[in-house]
Amino acid sequence: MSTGLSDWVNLDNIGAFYPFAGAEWLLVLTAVIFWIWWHVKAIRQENQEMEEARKHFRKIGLDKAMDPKGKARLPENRK
Amino acid sequence: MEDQLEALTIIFTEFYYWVTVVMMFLIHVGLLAYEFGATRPKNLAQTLTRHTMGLAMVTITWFLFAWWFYWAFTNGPFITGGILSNDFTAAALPWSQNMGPNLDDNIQGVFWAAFLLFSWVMASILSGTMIERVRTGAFMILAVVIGSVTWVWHASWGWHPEGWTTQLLGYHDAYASGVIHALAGGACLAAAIVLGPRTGKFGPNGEVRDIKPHNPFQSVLGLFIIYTGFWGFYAACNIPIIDISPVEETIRFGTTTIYGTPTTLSAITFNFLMSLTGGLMAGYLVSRGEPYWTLSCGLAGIISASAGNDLYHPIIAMFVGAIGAFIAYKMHFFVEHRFKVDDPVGAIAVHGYAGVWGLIACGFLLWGYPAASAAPESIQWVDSIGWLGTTPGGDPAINPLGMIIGAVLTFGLFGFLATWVVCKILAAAGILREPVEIELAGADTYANMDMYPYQEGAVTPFEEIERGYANNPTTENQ
Repeated sequence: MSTGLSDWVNLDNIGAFYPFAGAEWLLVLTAVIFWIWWHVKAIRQENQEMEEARKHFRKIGLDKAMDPKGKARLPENRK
Repeated sequence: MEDQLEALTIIFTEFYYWVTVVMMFLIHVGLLAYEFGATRPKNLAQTLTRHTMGLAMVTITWFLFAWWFYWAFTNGPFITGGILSNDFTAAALPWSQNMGPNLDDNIQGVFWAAFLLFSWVMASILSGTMIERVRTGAFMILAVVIGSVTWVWHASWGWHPEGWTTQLLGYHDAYASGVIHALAGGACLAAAIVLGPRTGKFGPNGEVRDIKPHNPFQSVLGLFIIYTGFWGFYAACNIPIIDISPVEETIRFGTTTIYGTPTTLSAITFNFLMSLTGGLMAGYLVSRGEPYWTLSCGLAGIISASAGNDLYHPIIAMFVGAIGAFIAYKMHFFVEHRFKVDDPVGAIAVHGYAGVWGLIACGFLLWGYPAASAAPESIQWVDSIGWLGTTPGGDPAINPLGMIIGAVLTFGLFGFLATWVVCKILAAAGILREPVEIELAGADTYANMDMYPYQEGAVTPFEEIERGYANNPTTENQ
């Protein structure tokens, strides 16, 4: 697959030398989508983990979770 | 010969900025070490990840839009002109071929990175104030806001030779007392207020409880590393070699600030070290030799003098730094006791109050100096520049009122107000602060991410107090 240059002979005629030069708008569009998606995904993932943690702490008792000898740990079924 | 000289100048400049970027990475090594040391063991992994990912969020958005903001918003936009459109703005657009490997443009990426590293500082400073209770997802959004929107927006006004506050108000802030530090401090204050203190930080009678850093040595070492990176930042704020002769027929190579005004590497070397010394000396006395605050005051000293460190005498820089450090220390504890603001790393004081002092001091001490060369053609909708004073040569003059307005814009508007609004929105969406159970148990506890697995079981006196909240984990305690 040729995505751009095939030689370095005439340097004066070479400007941008990355693959898909000329399609930068498409690359930018993918980056914007990736960036927004990443925020949404990260927040959802965090929501889910925090809810699981809260349930677990309620189940074992928060006092136990804070007790250094009985520190709450990831339930076995999630490891 | 002239072409060879020009080529040498360009290659030297490229390499110079490239090296400053590497040096500025040390700021982030230091800030992370500082913040990590101030965090308790149960939150360490979350702190490391949150801080670092904030930098990633600033980077992607710096590429997508923030770099263009810097070049396009110098007139507001819509204060003294519209959105700028010229060769610089075109080259900074994310789809520009200058924004990638290009044999016709060797330096765009290096400039982009130098400014990006400044932007990382904004997110990093905010991260420290919010430790042990902010949610990672919310912080990522705040990192984008402060790192890629608010600071750079103001920088295009006041940290640009043709920005409207530079040209009209005579705002001059050579090494960013205001554009970075006062603005970051204002943002930290807003975030600390909306977020609220760590549960149990203030007792039922309003008493302030000491939540000790888990590793004070690491925090102090982090501060020393920040000094090192700050040196790189100072270097990056200069144009290292350029013809500064005002006469076309003669060539005189020298160094300039970001405003294009002459200074020397000698000047900033003297003043960086003397303002650091002033801060350290004041910090040692006022904190009675407490290492955490002595070194923090050293940083406050540099920040205080930074606005005018291109022009101050070294002894002036020392006294400006000493006074700024004193103000930062006193204000930190006053605000903590009086208003119950929990700032675990002292960022509001060291960056915010010291930065504001630095701007005001600069306005008086450098009153009448040229803020930048006059550029009336860059201000589109008004006919004159230097509204608060001009030099005999017609350049906008540095003056106290312009610098005070700059302090209000940095600390108050772009720092405090903008961050307060975004934090309120995140709080209303329920994603700003960790649920109280998570905060009390520790962000790392459930996922079993001990950073010091062999220290499990160590309990500080404050954690004994904190356990008292476990039987009633409501948000009213926060």
